[in-house]
Formats: sequence, structure tokens, C-alpha cells
Amino acid sequence: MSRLGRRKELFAPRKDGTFQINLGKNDRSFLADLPNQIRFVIESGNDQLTRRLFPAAYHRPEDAEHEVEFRKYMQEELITSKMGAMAILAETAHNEVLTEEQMMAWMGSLNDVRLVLGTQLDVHEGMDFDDFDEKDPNLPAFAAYHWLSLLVGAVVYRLSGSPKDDDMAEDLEAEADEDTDDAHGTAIDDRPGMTLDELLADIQSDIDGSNS
Amino acid sequence: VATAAPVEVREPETDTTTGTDLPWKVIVWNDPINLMTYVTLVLQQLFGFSREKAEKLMIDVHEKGRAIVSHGPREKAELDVFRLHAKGLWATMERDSGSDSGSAV
Repeated sequence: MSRLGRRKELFAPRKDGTFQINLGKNDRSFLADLPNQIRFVIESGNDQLTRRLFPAAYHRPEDAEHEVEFRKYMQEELITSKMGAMAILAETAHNEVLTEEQMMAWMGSLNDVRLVLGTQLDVHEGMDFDDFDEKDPNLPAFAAYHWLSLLVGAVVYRLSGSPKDDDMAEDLEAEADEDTDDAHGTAIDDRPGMTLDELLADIQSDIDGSNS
Repeated sequence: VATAAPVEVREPETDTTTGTDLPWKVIVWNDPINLMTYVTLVLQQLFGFSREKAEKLMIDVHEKGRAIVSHGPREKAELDVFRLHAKGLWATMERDSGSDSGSAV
């Protein structure tokens, strides 16, 4: 797969403490539109879809009254907090460079999108692309979910900087160097730096391969 | 985090300066969506934990299904839950009966 050769780190640190964003125009447009979609989901009042955005604080039956109070006073503030980060994502989606603070907003808002999308897709641990076939209508959404996971992982990686991480990065790069067409695993970590379209095509080729 | 094994260590209670006046505990629950590295970083950022401590709590969440990340009066626990929800972690609070063995704090 020649595309492995032109991999770039998605969020490359710069000497001045900011980060160079290596994303294509289509992917940036996709990201810029996410806040509108999340706003729509929140405003639709679909509690099932937003249950991971706004979980109960008091989970014991005897504290039900406290929970009502908590919702009453905190819900709006929680929405404001989340939409504030979403607004930064929308405003900076086409930026060449992000500050650390903007990276934080990307991390939180992209993770919130994953919480909604993951709830919608009923994501569970150990879930794999093998759970889908090429005609599954959820496949593009699942690819988007995994692509967003890659992005969040990459932001977290850069915001968690430590010597240990650098060791891990070297290991990952070493693994990536060994990556060949024979490496047919579907582990998402094998696909850093891909565009969303490339990821989807790659997943579909994996599925085609395993079905034939 | 495949290399990190769960370690059962109860820390000495030297950092609980007001140990008798801590009626609520804040619990983070396992969920299949949040990335392990994300949970670790959020715990570091919100509570000022060392990476080691945050990772240990994250592993507890992952392996045991839950971990207690803070104690305190009800107002403080509510604020901690709010901040965890703002970052997308699945957190709840309950009265501290003092009998929980899942605590790592």
C-alpha cells in the first residue's frame, strides 16, 4: 500500500509549542460540520442518543431528588461547555496551526462526537470491522467513528507528551515500517494519517479480502 | 496499555487530610467508547494526578469496571462529576459508606 509511504503525523508539534495540522480539505470540512450535527442531536432531545453526553450524576435510587436538582442547575452549563468546545472546532477546522488550548477543544469535542456516534452504533468492546459486511448501511458511520478515534488518539498523544510516549512512538513507527500488504489485521492503530475516505476504502478492501 | 497489569495497591491515607468529613465519593465507570489514553489524560488534567496514578485509576476502570477518583462534601463531588461529564467520562457519585474496596484514591 503506497499510501503508507506518505504518512504524516496528524498533529505535528512545532518549536513554538503550537501544532501543525496535517489534514486534507475534505476531512477538515467534515470536522467543521460536526458541531452543527451535534447541536441538532442535542436540540432534538433524543435522550437515547445523548445519554453518554449527559449521564446521571446520582445513580442511586435514594438520591433521585438530588439528581433532579443536579440536572436542573447543571444541564445548561454542561451544554454550554460542550458547545463552546464545538465552536472552537468549527472555527479552527481549516487552520494550519493549532494552539494547545485549541487542541484541547478539538480533543473534547471530537470525543463528544464519538460518544454520540458510538452510542448510535452500539459500540462495544472487542468490536471489529469483521462485525460488518460491505453492504451494512452503518459501515460509513463506523468508519467515521474509527477515524475520529484516530484523531482523538493522536491529539491525546501529543497533549500527553512524555519520554514514555516517545518510546511508544518509536515502537509504533518500527511496527509501521514492517507493515505490508500481508499485514491484514484490522487494528485501527495500523492506519494513522489516513484520510477518512482512505480509511473507508481500506476497510472495504479488508472486508472484500476476507469475504473472497 | 496491553503491558499494564492491574496492581492492587491501597495507598496510605495520608493525603486525606479531613478523613472523617468525606461523605461522598465520585466514581468513574468503564465504557466501551472512551480511549484509555484519553481517560488517563483527563484524570491528570482534572485532578492533577501524576501519570502513574491516573494510569492506575484508568486500569482499575478498565479491569474492574470502576474506580473512585475523588472524595469530598456533596458540593465538591457534584463539581467533580460535572467536570468529568464535561470531558465525556461516565461518572457518578454516591454516599461513601467506607466499605468500598475498589478505591484507589
